[in-house]
Amino acid sequence: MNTLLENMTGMGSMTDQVIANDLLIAAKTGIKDCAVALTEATTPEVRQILKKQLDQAISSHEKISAYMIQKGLYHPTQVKQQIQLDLQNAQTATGLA
Amino acid sequence: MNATTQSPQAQTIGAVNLATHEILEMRELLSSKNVCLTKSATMQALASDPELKTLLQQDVQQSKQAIQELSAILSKV
Repeated sequence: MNTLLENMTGMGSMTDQVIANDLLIAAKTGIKDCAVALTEATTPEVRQILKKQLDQAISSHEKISAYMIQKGLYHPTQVKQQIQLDLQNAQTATGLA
Repeated sequence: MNATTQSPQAQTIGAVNLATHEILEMRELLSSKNVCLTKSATMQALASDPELKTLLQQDVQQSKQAIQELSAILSKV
């Protein structure tokens, strides 16, 4: 089933990397949105819930980045390597690879 | 503001008077969480690495809870 889907999307083993990248971006966006909403909220109950969700979003982002660093999908401390990876992904995404 | 909170559960919040901009903010978050939940649930089937599957599963659980909390407040409006 998975092979079929991978062939269908034409990404092969890229699928996991794409999913992880998307998850990382979603986590980042989630943190920002939550923080903005929190600064706008005044009702204590609302602030309580948003603060809890913000803390959750932060720890979830931490887990995802740790996973990606460990798998070599993300090099936040090595600019050259990260750019190379990004350019590779760009080629794949635009179908030039 | 006459909130009667009996427990930390969001469901027990009484009639809360939310400001208009708060309602807007909450429904914005709710719809983004809805998309996130749908996406992570779908991606679980596509991911092959078990560790990534676990991360997605955790995200699904977390999103579900967040949606419940936000819905509980918005349904009182």
